Amino acid sequence: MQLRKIGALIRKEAKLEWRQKYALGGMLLYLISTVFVAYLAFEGIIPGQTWNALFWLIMLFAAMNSILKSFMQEHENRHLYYFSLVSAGEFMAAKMIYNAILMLGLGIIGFLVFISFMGNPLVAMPLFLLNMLLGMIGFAAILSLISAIASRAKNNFTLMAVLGFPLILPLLLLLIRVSSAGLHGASVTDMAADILIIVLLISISIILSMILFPYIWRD
Amino acid sequence: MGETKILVVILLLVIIFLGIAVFLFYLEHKISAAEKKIDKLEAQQKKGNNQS
Amino acid sequence: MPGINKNEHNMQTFRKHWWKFLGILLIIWVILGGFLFEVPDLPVIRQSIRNIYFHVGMWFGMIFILFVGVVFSIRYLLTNDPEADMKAFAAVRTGLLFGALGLITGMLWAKYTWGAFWVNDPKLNGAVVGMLTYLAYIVLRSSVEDQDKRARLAAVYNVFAFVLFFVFIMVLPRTASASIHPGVDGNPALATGDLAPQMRIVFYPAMAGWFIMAWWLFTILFRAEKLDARINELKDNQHTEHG
Repeated sequence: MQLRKIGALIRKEAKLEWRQKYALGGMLLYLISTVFVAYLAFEGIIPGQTWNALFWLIMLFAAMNSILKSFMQEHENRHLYYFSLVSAGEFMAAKMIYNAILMLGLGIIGFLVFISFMGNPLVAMPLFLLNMLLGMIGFAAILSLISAIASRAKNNFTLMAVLGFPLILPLLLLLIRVSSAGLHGASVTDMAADILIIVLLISISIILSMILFPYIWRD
Repeated sequence: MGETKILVVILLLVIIFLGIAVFLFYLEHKISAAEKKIDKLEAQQKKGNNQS
Repeated sequence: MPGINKNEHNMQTFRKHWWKFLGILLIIWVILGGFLFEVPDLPVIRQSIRNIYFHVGMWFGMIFILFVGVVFSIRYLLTNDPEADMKAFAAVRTGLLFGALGLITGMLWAKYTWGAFWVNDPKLNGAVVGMLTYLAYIVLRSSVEDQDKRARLAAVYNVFAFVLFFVFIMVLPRTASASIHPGVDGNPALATGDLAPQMRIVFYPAMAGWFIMAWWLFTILFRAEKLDARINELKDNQHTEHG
């Protein structure tokens, strides 16, 4: 597992994303549009619980879209070329790290867009931000492998949702629970148990993804 | 009165369950028969391949 | 069958299928004992506690057979043996059936003890997520044409999904702030550790019985699948011969 190679792959992904600015722009537009729809639908001020759930749902959809795309945007042959240079494990690590960074960026932007439209009922920022950080990494950790699977089959986007939702649900519920506590001013130590479980989930997902990915890309 | 109700429930459940068990055995019987037929067909094919 | 007399043949049959008869007897024992034997009269649950012999057995039977499926999925990834894939598929389908049975018995039980067929509870939500997870497995399989690819993708998903599913149903409910479902901390525990002695003589056989039934169904589904594969291969060989 050469870090240098992984770093190179990540830079490649970033360059690709930047070149196809419409993809990034599309994701941003998606975020703004969905939040705006929510804003109109709820007529401005919404209760904390709703705000919370809505935020995470919108982020989840954004995550599913962008992570799936990251596996689909390059041609088969390009992948063959990569695999002659790096191992499957390095490839997957790079994908997951890149997806995590992408998700963090989306998360921050999404959060800013959200509070500009829907107000900021948050009391405890550290807890919420930590939770969001973990959540975005978690999305990347779980959804990367699922995207890899879905990208190899027909009906990718539907399949991504079908495969992804049940598996992301445990994480999602935990994240909503922790950030909901953040709404009421809980501190990080209060929710330490839940946060530990989130970290556990993420670790398990990353390890499993690294082990299982090579089998997906055999051909 | 409660006694008979329970006995009816038990009887029903036992009958339903035995029905399911019989059905499973029946399925296995059919599968075994089909397996034997396939064995024969496969052997025939092999012989056919060796001869041609 | 020439050369073998009837008694020997029956003996052979029994040796092969004895465990199925055992499973049947166990479940009948459960039906009889479950309804006729004494049970502790706990508040709210009262007599419906007898459902434990069915609901819990079906649920653990499901987890057991799903685990079996994961074992075969791992074996497929390591050996590429198509039979391993067929077994994994059979295991998942059996698991789905037992999960559905567990859900139904659970909902009936909920109606009589909590007043509603469904409540918003972590353990119940975990059950639904489990069903969705494995239904997704079925959808995944039908989304891939190529046999090898299908088997591989399905196997990877199966392993990944089971681990997450297991964490979801085992770990999460323990941390939930409040769960109404029996067995989670605080609620009158019906876990085997705290099971009343007079219930154990039905409960343990119940678990064994449901495990056996799950395994039986699994073997039937697998054999049917394998048969289908052999028939297809025969057909393919025929075409290449005459073609």
